[in-house]
Amino acid sequence: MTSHPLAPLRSLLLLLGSASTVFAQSSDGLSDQDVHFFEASIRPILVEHCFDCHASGADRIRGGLVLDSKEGWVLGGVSGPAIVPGDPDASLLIQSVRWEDEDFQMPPRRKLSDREIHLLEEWVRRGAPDPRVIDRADPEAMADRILPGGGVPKEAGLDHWAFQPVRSVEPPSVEDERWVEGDIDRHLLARLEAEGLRPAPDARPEDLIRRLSFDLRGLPPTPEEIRAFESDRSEDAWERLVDAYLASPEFGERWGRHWLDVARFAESSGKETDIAYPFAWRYRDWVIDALNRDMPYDDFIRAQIAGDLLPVREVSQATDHLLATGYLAIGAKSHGERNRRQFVLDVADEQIDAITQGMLGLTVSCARCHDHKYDPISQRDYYQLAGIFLSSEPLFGGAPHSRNMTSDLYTLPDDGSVTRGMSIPSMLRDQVSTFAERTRSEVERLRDEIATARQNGAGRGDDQARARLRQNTNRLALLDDLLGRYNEDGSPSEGMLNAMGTRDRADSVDATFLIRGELDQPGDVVPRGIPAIANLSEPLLVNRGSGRLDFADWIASDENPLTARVMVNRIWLHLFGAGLVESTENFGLEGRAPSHPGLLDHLAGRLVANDWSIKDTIREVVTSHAYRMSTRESARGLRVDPDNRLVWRMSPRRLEGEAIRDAILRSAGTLDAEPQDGSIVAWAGARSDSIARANLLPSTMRSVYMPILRGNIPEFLDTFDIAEPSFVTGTREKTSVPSQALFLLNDEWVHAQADAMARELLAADLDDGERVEEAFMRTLGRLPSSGEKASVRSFFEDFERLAAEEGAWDQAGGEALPERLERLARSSPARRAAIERRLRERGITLPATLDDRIVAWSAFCQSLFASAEFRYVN
Amino acid sequence: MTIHEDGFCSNRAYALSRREMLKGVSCGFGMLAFGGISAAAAAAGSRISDNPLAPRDPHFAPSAKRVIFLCMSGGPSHLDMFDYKPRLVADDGQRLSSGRRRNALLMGSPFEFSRHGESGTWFSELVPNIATHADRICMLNGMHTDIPAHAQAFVQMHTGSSQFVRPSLGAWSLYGLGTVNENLPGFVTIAPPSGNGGAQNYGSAFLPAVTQGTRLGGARSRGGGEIDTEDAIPNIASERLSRSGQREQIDLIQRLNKHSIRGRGNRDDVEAVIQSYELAFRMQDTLPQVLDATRIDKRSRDLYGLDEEATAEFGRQCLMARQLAENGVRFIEVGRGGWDHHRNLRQSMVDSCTAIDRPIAGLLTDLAERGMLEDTLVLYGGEFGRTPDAQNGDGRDHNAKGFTMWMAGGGARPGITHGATDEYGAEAVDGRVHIHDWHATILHMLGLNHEELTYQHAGRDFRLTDVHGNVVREILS
Repeated sequence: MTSHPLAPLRSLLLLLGSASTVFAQSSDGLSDQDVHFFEASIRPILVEHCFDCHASGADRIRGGLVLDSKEGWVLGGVSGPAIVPGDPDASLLIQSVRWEDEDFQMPPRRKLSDREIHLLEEWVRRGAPDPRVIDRADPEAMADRILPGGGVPKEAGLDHWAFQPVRSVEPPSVEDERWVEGDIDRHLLARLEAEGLRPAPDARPEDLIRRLSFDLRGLPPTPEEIRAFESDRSEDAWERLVDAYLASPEFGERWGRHWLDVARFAESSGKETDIAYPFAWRYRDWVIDALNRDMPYDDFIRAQIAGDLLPVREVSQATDHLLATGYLAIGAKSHGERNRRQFVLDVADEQIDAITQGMLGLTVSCARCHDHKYDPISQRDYYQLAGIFLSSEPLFGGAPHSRNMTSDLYTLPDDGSVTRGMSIPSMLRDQVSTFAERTRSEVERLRDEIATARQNGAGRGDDQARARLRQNTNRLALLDDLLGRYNEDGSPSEGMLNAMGTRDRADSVDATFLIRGELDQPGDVVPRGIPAIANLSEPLLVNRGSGRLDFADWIASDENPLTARVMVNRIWLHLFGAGLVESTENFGLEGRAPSHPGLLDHLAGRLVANDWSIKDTIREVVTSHAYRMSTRESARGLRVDPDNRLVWRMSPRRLEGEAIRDAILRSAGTLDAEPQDGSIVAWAGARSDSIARANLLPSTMRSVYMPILRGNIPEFLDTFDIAEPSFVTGTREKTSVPSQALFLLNDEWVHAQADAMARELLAADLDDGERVEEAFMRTLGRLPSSGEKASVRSFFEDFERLAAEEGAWDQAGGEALPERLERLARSSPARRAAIERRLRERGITLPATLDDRIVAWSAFCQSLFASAEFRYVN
Repeated sequence: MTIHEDGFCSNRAYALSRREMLKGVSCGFGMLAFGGISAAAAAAGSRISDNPLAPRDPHFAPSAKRVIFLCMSGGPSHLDMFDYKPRLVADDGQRLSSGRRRNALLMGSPFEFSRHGESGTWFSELVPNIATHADRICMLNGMHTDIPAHAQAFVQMHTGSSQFVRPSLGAWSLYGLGTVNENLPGFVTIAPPSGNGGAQNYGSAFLPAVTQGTRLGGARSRGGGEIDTEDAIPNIASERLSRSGQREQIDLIQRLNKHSIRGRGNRDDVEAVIQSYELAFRMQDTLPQVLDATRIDKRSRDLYGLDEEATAEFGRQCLMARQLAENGVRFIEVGRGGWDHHRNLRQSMVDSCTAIDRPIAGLLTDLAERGMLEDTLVLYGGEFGRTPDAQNGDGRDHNAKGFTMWMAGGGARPGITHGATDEYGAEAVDGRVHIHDWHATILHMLGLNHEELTYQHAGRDFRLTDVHGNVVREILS
């Protein structure tokens, strides 16, 4: 790995030299002399001078470092391992007790005596022999202390449907052969006929193209596309439309977003600190690209779990694989956690949770503290898996701050093959730069102040100055980190050639079984490997490396009955509105049973047979007769199966927030259809809310490229039920709440889009009747009915009359907005500048240029955006 | 949704999936939305509705119907406000000779303490107005929590967990009880901090999204801490259309919606959208009315200190809390920051306490006068307390091992002091109440059994108190 051109920068501090002793019990054969030396000379120093802040029971564990066990110093604190055995000069612990660096002096209040320092140096030089071992519970004592699980015997899952091999199913026979166009139809119709139900009639062409366009591209069809499709009488018109949409770049943006929900994608850490991840967008783009080129789903899984371990033929492929492993690094994390062991265990748990729920439909993380309550997954199984992830190192970056957990990142090749993302607005960079310089001089000033105080015999300088120094040093590191990503002209520098990802640790480790999942209740060591989860296979121990690739291969195997089923169920969900298995993340004993087991297995079998092609599977579903049914209700259908579990019609579906927003932009003619190059999150300092505070959200990019900060979700998407990015989400909420109505009625951004659409309509060479028709085509994909035309006419009449009588809108030169902004801007010039910039960047036209006619037409266009039909596909 | 005849909701009733609950929105919501304020309140307790936020029967008779949580972020010093430590004062300036913090310099409170009311509860001179309510207050001097770091402790205080994203106390309350005013949100948080976990502190996590708190003011709003209604709630008013102009527009939207109901096969969905517009339109009226600053009378201005610069902001927020409580909001939190006094405590504690003393006292008086204190549980507290030893001269460090919170009204036993810290105020030693216990007790007062208020997510049942929590029976009246 080290000789590979893509070898990551390896921070010396982060090399986990002897990591194998971290979690496994030390069995070093120490000589009596070593033990005596430690006990007589070293332990007393540690107890006397270090334990107040660096022991497991300390009130506050400073710097995340504990010294009351060997594994404490091996793993180290936020700055990395404390000791490099045999090398005192390279050991942080020795550096700090020597008081060499004035910002890094331990113990902070009083320097150790020369003798004590020499003893510690001698100890490290000898290899830091440390006889302290964790007090592990013996197996018998453990049995009493282990939390009871659900008492699920290992055999319990043997007959559970989801754990059975995928069956090759003989398609059932049906009475009405004419309706059947393929096996999907056969499976569905057989059930319907058994219940005495008839499939709904076919949908109208304008409904079909709108449905397909949203389903495959996340955008409404253009009026031209609709007209062309309606007039296309050829037999394969539908198939050609399907192929064209599958081949469009918008396909990856649509289906990529579906996967990003499952992958709990976000560009910040969430939790209490919400540190920005300036390179997370590379994983987002990798997902979009992988779906566009129809990467086989098994390879898609392998790359994300173990891309760094896959054989490669060329550099570009290696880059591609590394970017995929960002999947494991983007989860929500507590960067402020002070105990590194706890942090590492929590990250591994989060990864296990994401993989097992997302790819296997199992909730393995339930077994962290006790055996799974419902499924045949033991706590021991969990720790077997945990070893795989503890042996892997997530490269998430994190803000360079003395109190945060950070890691390395991958460095990508600087050969022009990799984008560096977009430039930072030079004004913003200048601001940051000025702030950094001011901070830098403050740091220097404080250093001098403290040094002077010290020369004058005032000890280490006063506490307040030191606290301010620490604060400023931290701030400076953050600012320099941000500045390092951009050149002076604002273009991205080499500093942007990083990526989040995952790699194996230098040494692999096995996990310690933790009673009740608690760090201070260790049990025995569990050899890492792939457990016999739900009896899907024989347990497999890992001998070399982390075992991540073995695990990925196991999941992505043709024989794994869960993987293909879970994925085809997700595909079905996005095309029919509900999964065949409604609990899309839980195929375990507490999950829902499939409505059509035969169909599920048919689709799963097809996915594998089609070399795991996602596009082929989607094509097969959308070219079925069932997909082309209308949403029309039948009395019998509503009575027998009101929830449409049997699919006697197409279910009407509410669009996701992304699709609603993109459809507004497309209708208004303001959509920036080009993929976003990078993410504005890369402009953020450590704190993700700085992006939100700066009001930098641009207005017209496709929603999938908007910055997804766990603590600051873009308001539109937040309002319309975006997946909570800290959880694996297969099935999104679809709420109808007043805040959505308020947003669509009153938000400035919505007004701006409606204005833009109104201006385009009014500028077009059309009469008003044609303008109304064009507006309906753009927004709802159909022409208005005569009743609707009448409603619209009467709206315009009433609105005009109102405007004449009392003013339907604030006509005082459109003062309303500026007045309000004036009030907001009064607080500070910076605020005013931010507001003006925001308006400019959001493309908002001040209402001063509005007139009665534009306002009326804008209100009309906005009403179409706000209508129920706009946000539903039928 | 199963509600048994004896008025107890079974676990099963609460185990509805989020999906199923939301599905209900489209059915019965229309009828509710057209009802006036508190229309449902009259029928509360007996009616079974499909509205996911319709009032629901608690597990047993509650002592509190609503909660106002006065949330002090930063860790206010219990040692200088409520927890009188004469020994600490006597040993002021001495160094500890043993223990974890040996060599630390003890700092007695520079503020005078005295007993108040018939109960003789101790208060310092910093909170003279709150002290007049001594006989209404249930002082909890034995509080403790797990982690002496702001964000973790703050999130744990709100959700029970500092490690995982979990529903907030307010969301659990709303989920358990529903709300009685369909024209207002059921859970409102006023000026919450954007840091310390931000929206997580009023989030619904995996609970139905309708249970999440609606934020008024605070750093995430456009107004940046301002609390005028239009700044506090995004998009509460149109900046362009007059009221009648907007009504015209909504009428067009509703006509389009009614057209699309025909033959489109999603009548329920469209109905839900229709209702959301009507509700939004009414909220535009109701909320500004409820919070209308121009109609505050002289008495309230005095009571909450609205005309004094030092108390105007927090006073207005406390008054808002009362206005919302009066109008049927189930859970209201009022945020106040600036309590992280690592230095210069002598001066800054005076400022911090001045800002809250009169408003809080005013709120208690106001609630009592309106007969609302009986069934309104008022909570006061921060994420932790502070150390008895000095830091940076006259500052104090974080202390999770012992601190003070208090309750008033809503069935909290009035005029008692429960629990105690050691003689220096460093650790809770007697009547210890962990944050989990605090949660269990609050739910109990609302008539909810914290072990039965569960929600199934990702394959298991979750509850606010996880596997912890004991109801503190001694403080129930």
